[in-house]
Amino acid sequence: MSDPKTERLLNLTMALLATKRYLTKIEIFQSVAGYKGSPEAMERMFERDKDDLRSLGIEIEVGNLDNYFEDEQGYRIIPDSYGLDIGEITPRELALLSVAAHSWSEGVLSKSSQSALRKLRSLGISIDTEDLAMGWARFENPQPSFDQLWQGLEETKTLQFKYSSTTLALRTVDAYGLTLWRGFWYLVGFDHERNEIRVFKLIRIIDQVTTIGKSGSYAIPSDFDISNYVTNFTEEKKHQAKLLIRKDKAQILRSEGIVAPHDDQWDQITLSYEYQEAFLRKLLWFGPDVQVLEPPALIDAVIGRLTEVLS
Amino acid sequence: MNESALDRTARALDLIPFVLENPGLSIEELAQEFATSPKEITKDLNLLFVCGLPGYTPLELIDLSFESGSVSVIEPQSLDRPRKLNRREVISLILGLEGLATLRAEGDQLRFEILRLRDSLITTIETANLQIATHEEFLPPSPFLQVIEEAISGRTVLDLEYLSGNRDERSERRVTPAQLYTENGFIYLIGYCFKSGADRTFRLDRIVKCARSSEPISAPNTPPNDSQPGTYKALAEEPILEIAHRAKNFLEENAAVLTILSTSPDFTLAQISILDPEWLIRSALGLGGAVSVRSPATLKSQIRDRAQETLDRYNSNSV
Repeated sequence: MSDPKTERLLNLTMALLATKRYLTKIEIFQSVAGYKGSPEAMERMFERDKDDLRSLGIEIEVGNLDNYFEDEQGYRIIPDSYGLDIGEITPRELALLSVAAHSWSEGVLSKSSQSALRKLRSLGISIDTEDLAMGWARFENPQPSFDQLWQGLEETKTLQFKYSSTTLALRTVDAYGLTLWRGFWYLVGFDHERNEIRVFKLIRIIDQVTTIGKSGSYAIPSDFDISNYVTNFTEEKKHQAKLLIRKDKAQILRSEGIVAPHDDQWDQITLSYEYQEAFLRKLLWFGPDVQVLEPPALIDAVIGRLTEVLS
Repeated sequence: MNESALDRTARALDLIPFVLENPGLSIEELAQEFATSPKEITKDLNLLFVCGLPGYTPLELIDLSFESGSVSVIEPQSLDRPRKLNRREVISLILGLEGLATLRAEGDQLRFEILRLRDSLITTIETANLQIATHEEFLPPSPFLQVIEEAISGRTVLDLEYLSGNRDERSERRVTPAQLYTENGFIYLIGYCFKSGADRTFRLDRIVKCARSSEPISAPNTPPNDSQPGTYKALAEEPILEIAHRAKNFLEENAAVLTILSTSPDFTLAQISILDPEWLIRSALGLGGAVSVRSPATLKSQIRDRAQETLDRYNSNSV
């Protein structure tokens, strides 16, 4: 089975890595296996190959050969720009990197960190995680859209996707950043229709993300700080609540406030909460083992919700 | 552009330095390592076998041996070094380190080391602005993390005091911890629970006490008893739920156990796969009318009864 393209790319990489001086195109066409056809065809082939290798992150240096042929350009790959140089790294740090690389459960973050780890393991230093006394942790894999969003972000290409908020609508967004916060991934970016910076929860992106426009179709403002956005939309005041909780019940609530005995069946607890919605869900979890005493608005909300269940 | 040719080129370039430092692996082991099939690895090796430096005599070709079942590199030519890490690889490592750091409390020595390593990785990429970050509130830290981690790596047993959400009770569990994972912003421990005789998950923020067990590890010699708390039987009939559009959070948080049956402008109809009906009864009260059970009927009436009983607290003058 032959795979001329891959074979030629490998031979080109090896030749450019091995040479100590710049190789001219003519020399490449004559010596590197795989270049054939008319001069124009080889020229086109070489241009594509260079782009392909660059897309793999391989830097091809272009330089003037010497003063003999002033305008003749040559090519080479500097081994130090090609090869992994991890600098001074301790075995313990390598072990930490190894644990970090294993921590994503799936998806593009897992794939990239695994390939990073393979490269580290190709350095010939043994990696021993035994001494770290760390448990292996697994972090959630981001949504399938993560890969496309990341790509759009890196290339600053405007993105389009269907987003389900109060309505399901197509959104056109210049991505400024991605962040993981309280267990969910968010995209922050400039929304073309709304004409302002918006936050999108990745799990609410439906189907595929498409890119529109060319690379560099927008610029991320230099003063953009993603942490200003994810925390802002959740800021709310703390409220105080007073509840009755049945003795030996509502175990999870007990550590969150100050508990005092009420009578032989009930204790009283005072605690604070941020979001009424989340707090309601938490209280109703305990059903008849919890009764709200204060504030009145919370009592009304509890009664309203229970009436809804019964209707 | 032929994408698969590029993928193969990248893998082939990485394969040579990897095998050079890790000789003697089988084609199957390499396939696993490179997350591909043995067939693709064989193709890669056959291809590398005919590649080399200009001249292309046996002296200039890459030399490999893999007929005997284990792969080794005899002559790598100019491919002896692994390629440098690309931006994505570095960022993935940085994010993984940040995740590990946020599991640890401020002042923890390991946290300090992890963050220092992250900072030195950041200096290796061109633009310091990653545009992709974890937030400090990535996960809540747990005071028991260290003892749990030590137990996982040392394969020892822990005695937990645990607040069970579904049963609303405090129980003592002896557990052989296996792994930590995160979901919906919480850290969970999965491990073998001696009381249940099976693997169980525990939310770290609900562990109230955690200590290394004084007793040596011994496998449970009695078979698990189904009547014990924490042992569930799968429901005979999987509940079907009507989930209103406004209960989006419920859909998202439980995506793993929900099978969407249909979607209408008003609600999503989904089947939920749960082990303990108590979980659904308790959740349903808090969700009000936004999530309602369509079937089975017994579950439906259990929820109504519980709601009525709770409401009665506010109608009577029992305070």
